[in-house]
Amino acid sequence: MSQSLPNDDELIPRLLRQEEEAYTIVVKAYQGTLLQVAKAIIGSSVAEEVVQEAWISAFKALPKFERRSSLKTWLIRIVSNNAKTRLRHESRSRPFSELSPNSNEMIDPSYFDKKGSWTQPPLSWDINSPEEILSSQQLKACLDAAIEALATLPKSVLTLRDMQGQNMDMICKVLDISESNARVLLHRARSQVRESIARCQRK
Amino acid sequence: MLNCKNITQKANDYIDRDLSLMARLKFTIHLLICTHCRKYISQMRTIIKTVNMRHSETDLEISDAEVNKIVELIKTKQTK
Repeated sequence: MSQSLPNDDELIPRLLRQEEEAYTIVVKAYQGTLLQVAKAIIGSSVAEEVVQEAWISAFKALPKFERRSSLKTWLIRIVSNNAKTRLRHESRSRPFSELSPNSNEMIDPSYFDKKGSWTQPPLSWDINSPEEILSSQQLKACLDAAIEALATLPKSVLTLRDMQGQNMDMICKVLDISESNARVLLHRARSQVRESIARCQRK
Repeated sequence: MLNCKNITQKANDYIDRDLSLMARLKFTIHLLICTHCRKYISQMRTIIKTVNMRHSETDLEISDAEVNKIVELIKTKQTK
């Protein structure tokens, strides 16, 4: 079932010839990832629709693709642009910049005293390893909820970086943000997820 | 000197190896003497790994039926 994916040099000409097998290979390879990217930006309910539209416009635009990036990166960029456009049109959309990029606060400042020492230090976790966390139905659900609850932009950065292993350069291009902003957002997202898990450990 | 609050602010850069040598040294020294911050960093690392593993668990496998549906849609739109 998992054959190795042909490289772009082989795939792109086949796609340009509108070869059905090539379409199938590419959709099967990337649909999951593209869905995740869309969900991270626009939420679950319209993600499928956004990705479908992206596939269609991608193949229409393929003859003009200059191959300055990989096919995968290009597809991700199309999906993220579509998702962002859609987000702007949705009435219930949350503003992108829900947090000041200049804010340095990763953790509730009340956890520290004036000298910057912990007043509420982190407590030990009973369930301490990734494997154990994911084996616990409760903590796994907590993790998913924590990620889902993140604001749009931190969630996008976390998804692209920690879930999909994309590099920072690509993330900045896809989301139109600076690298320093991306780092802040990533740290904030990770911090919030950690906080949620910490709270769930107490239950 | 780095205080605990500084540590939490820079934790990401430390974990992702994005600090200068000097900054990294200061960070390491603080961690040597502060159990609270050691715990914090360890928990952050756990979270990062857990998120990453959750991704691999998440169903990225798309059913053949779904793939075919999309391919059909693409073909329909291509013939214009």
